[in-house]
Amino acid sequence: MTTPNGNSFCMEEEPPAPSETHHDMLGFRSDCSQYHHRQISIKDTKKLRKRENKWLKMIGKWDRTIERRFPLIRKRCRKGIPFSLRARAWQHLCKSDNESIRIRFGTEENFESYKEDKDAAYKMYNHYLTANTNPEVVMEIKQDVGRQFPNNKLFYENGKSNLGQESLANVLIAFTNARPRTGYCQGQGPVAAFLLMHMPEHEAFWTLIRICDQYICGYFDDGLRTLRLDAEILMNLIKYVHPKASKKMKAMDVRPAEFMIEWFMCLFTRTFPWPTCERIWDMFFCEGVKVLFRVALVLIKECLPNDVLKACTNKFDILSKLRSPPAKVLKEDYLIQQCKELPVNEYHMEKEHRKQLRNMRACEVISVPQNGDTSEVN
Amino acid sequence: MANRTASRPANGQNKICQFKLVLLGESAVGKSSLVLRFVKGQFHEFQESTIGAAFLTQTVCLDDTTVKFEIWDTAGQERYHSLAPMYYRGAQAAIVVYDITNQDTFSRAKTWVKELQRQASPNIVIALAGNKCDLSNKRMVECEEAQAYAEENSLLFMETSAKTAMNVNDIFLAIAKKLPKNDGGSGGNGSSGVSLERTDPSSGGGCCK
Repeated sequence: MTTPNGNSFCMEEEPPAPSETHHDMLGFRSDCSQYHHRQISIKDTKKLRKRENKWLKMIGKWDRTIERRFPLIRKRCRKGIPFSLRARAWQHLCKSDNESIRIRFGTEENFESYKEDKDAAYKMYNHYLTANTNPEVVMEIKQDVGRQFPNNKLFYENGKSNLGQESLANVLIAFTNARPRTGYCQGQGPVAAFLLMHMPEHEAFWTLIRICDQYICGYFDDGLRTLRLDAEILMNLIKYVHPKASKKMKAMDVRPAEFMIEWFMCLFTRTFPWPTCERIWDMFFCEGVKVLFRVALVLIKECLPNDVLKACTNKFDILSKLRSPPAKVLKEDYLIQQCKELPVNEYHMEKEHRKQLRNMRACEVISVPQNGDTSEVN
Repeated sequence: MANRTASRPANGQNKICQFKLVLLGESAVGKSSLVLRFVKGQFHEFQESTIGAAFLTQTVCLDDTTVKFEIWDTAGQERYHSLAPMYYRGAQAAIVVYDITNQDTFSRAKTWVKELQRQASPNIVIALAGNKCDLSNKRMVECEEAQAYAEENSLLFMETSAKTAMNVNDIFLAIAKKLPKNDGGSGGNGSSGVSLERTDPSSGGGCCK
């Protein structure tokens, strides 16, 4: 599978994976470029154990920590959540853990009987999974599931489809039942698949729900209005980070939607190697959608340094550069450091958000439902 | 959009033209696979779905002209429809793709053709591609039917297979031939093109095989 942008993780032909192939922690085959050696030295192991202990303590008294010591959690998310606790931490951060889901949704219609049930999250998931779905949508989902991550043993093993495909279809089907207004969008596939590499089906489902309800609300909705709004916001934030690029991109009529849709919609799962994605998601679950803007701005800055920018003679040169980021920015530590140093803060983001929202509303001739227009910039 | 450009280098032997081409069609008909075959000569059985759109370039040589295609490979899912005008705006050529094993995708292709005729540049060159013709045992759209529709609407038409490479280069080449190449302007970078005259032997043949 290859997005033809050169930075994706390509596999030459079908995935025949005979016998002694090794897999990494996320299930990627050793002969594919997503495979990641995690060699951990003794020093690192000690550091890792220390971090794990810190996270265990935080998770143990989560409510109090998040209420009183949010900056500490943010700092630790930026450093990276230990792999062993990542799934649990993500769920706590986005409130998709069993307890939060039971409290939040257990009182809703249909679910009153689960109000006091410890397995409420699991049972409610099953309720959505087994509800009636439009057969056409089911077919569409199943067609797409077959072409998702053929390098990963969760989805393909020894050239044959594996359990992950069914889980992925289940999560997506349950999602369309739970959020019929949004329905199925192909962009949900990579996000759900990435979740499934970290957690079981029903947990992945609730985490996807929380991502779509709370973090990137409206991104997958028909018309993609929120995404287009965020595209304009991003375009206007470039001037704070890289004024020359901003000027040139505008002069050459580069439109943000021409390069950022896959980045934002797939939460960068198709742009970065997995260890980098995980670190981005660690921050994303803690700080929200503004992390996506930060990462995108760093990408633009790194893909279009002044000398490269000068050599670009038309919009297609610029777009080609944006589709093949230099190797150093794909590395997690470098990327995260750059994100931290970016001269853009919440004030800029909120200002641009308000401005672009006004512009968009002014431009809209046809009235559009108002629900999807506030992706959070906080 | 000044991306239709032609220039004659000082040595006078080769003219370079740059064209914007967009691929449209229902989800999973093989748009990305056609482009991947054309641009990189590869085929992936499990081509991931396109989100938004992908952008690629490829150059072809045509007699004394080098044609540089700037290709927008769009997402097929209906959800992304609202983005489509952004990609076909200013395009000089379009390939509308359907899957010969699925009648619905042919109907959708017709809708795309209508939309292009109504809203894209008036001189746009449109080609219709019936893809997956290696699966002719599962055929649901007859070649003659598509051929007749193409003739009615003055479209180029070929049945293609990204898997076997059949007619893939040919359809791009046919478009390159049909595009007007005498516009003034400047542009192009003079890179050596991929000559489509020497195509893969398996890719020969006409449309209705």
